[in-house]
Amino acid sequence: MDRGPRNDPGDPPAVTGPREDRPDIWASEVGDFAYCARSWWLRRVQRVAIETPEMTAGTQAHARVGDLVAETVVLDRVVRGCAGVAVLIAGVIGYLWLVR
Amino acid sequence: MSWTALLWGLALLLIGLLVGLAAAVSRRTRARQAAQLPAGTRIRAADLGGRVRPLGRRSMTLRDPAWGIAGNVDLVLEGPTGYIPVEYKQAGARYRPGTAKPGHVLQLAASMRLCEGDGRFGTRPAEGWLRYVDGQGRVLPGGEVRVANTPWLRGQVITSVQRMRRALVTREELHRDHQSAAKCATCSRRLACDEGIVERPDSPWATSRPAVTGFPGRRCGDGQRAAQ
Repeated sequence: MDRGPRNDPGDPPAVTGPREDRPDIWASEVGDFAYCARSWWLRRVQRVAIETPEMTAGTQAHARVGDLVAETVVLDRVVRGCAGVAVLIAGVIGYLWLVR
Repeated sequence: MSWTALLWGLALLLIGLLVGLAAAVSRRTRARQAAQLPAGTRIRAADLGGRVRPLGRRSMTLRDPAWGIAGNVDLVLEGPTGYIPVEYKQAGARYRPGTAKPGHVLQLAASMRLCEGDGRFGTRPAEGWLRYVDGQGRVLPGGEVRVANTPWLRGQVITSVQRMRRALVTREELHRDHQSAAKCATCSRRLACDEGIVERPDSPWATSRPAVTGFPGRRCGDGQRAAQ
């Protein structure tokens, strides 16, 4: 794997300049902009905030995926913890068996 | 306590732990299958919401200072080929298996750039995944689209970012740049837009009006209604 960001020869030049002249653009906005430039402009510049049923449903679907992912993370920790303690106890048993 | 009793106690504890371990491994396997996480991948970051946030600080905003972009990637997996950003999207009415919307692809490309530009990852992903899910968060058949991180795609992202930034700095008003009535009909800003393509009277959207907040001055859909 290559470490650190880099620009390939075919890539456009990276953005430079003072921070106040280049406000952060969010990754999700790139998708909005591709959908419709005016839709993005209304949201970002005109600050139109609309909560549609589709957006609410999308947030809920994300949360359900988040629950599934969280369960795998928690169980991963449980497995590692149990395995570590089991190895430790096995080692203690072996040691006691030898020095008995 | 005698040595023998101690050894027996520890042995029983060990057996109990091994039984618990086997149950946890089994349940973890099922959970990974439900979340459709491929074998050999590890979760490095997640920002999906939900009841539990087990990753704590790793649910984080990524930033690329070189391109001036930021974002919360839904999921970052680490696999044999490196980091894999994953974006989840709820499949809409016009979802077609095996295909991805251009806007979603560009957002994913921006997420791949974030993984490269953020110091906590700092490597260029070879690809990213788009996953279209149903209302229960299950990936639909044909709902996973793998997108290669090509120079052309990176060029599309930076071109978009530069146009957006120019509009922010110059306060330039941007206009509708498509001719798709379907896009306007499903756009979440359609009621605030005075350039929308007029919807058909029998459109289901005509009776589904979400609440609008924060819109300065102009009433929603005035332009459309005047045209009608």
